Amino acid sequence: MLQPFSYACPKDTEEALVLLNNAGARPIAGGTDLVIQLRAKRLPSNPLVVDLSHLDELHFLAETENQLKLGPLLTHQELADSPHIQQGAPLLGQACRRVGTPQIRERGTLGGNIVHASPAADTLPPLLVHDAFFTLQSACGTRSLAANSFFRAPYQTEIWSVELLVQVSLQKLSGFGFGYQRLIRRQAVGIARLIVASALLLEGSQIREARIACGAAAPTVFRAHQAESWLAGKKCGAEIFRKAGELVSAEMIERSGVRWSTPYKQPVLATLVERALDQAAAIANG
Amino acid sequence: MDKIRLHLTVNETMVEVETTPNRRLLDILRDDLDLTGTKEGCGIGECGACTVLMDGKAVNACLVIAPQAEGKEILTVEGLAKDGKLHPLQQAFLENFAFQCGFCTPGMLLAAKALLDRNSNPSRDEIREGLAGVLCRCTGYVQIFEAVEAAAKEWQK
Repeated sequence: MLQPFSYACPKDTEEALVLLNNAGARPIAGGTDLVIQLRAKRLPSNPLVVDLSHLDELHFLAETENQLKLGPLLTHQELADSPHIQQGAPLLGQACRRVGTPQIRERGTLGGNIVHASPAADTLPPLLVHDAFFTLQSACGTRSLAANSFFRAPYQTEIWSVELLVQVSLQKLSGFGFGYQRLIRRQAVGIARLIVASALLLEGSQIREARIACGAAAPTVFRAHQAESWLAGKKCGAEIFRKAGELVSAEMIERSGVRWSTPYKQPVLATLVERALDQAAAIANG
Repeated sequence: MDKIRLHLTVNETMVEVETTPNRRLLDILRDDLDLTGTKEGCGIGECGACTVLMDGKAVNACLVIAPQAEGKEILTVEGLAKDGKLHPLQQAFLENFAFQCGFCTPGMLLAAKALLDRNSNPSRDEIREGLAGVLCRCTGYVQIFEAVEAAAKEWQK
């Protein structure tokens, strides 16, 4: 039995936003995180659960010349299956294919994965590589935040309790090659121990632009900017990628400090970065 | 807590249930409709024992709050056999010794049905991936994969 709660089924986003003004109101979409909290009776007494799952206006996928615009209600399975995602944001498709189990992928949504803000959330490193930004709406208005500055701490973001994430916009990265590495303890129902998503734009063998995002490595997902700028202008090669891996590991330690897991994560993250860059370079070279 | 009235189709039969919002689809099936074939294992969406099909998709019934099942079509293990004849997946599980204690079997059958409905000729790897959300702790998985392969052959006929 779940903790007692009131339930509201708004007819549109506008009504949902009015309902979210109630103290203790919580939105629900796929429920794969919220129901677990309700079962553990972890929410304040008698919350108002505002159901978004039937709101078609939050369930869309649109493509422009330079952007992909994603509705927060797209499920992981829908994203993994979408040809638009496979072509325009293959990292995101790969990440969604690895979330939880088939049952979780059918219910869990992109928006839920973002605002739940687990440090190990699978969709976040690809979103950062694509310079995603989030459109947040409240009854008072709309604002946009870059994914890179959205995550404050584990399970904490910049979203206000009266706001809804209503759109996720991704920059398309044409001409880039992509690499994705995910370390888990087991293949099924695995929570990522480390994630690296990378993108490389090459001119011949010279790196014009490098993007590297890491998940589960620090309190929040992050872009390894130092390694990215160090890579720009260099020629692709095993030694360069190895050194970039070391730089990313150093950035992880700058963010998280030395923890019990650092002696393990430091060399392993460096290796995953090396592999992700290798993959991206091979794809960028066609 | 307010009472809510739910209307859903379970195994091709329309039902109406009066309940409270804080119950799960799993509770509605097992306690209100006496469909105890759907099992509760972990209760947190990891073991897959409660897998049912909702509008054709495999979901964990322990993670669906009752009001979200409004208007949905649910298929449980009780709805697989038709006119006293086992579903091809059930027959294949029997013939391939694909269960021992049987606790995971309802979930396995429905996860397998969702897989075969999407892809009637899955590779062994695709079967492994399709069933990754249901844990079996006694038979092991090999006979289960073989059963799904056998059922897939029937499916294609």
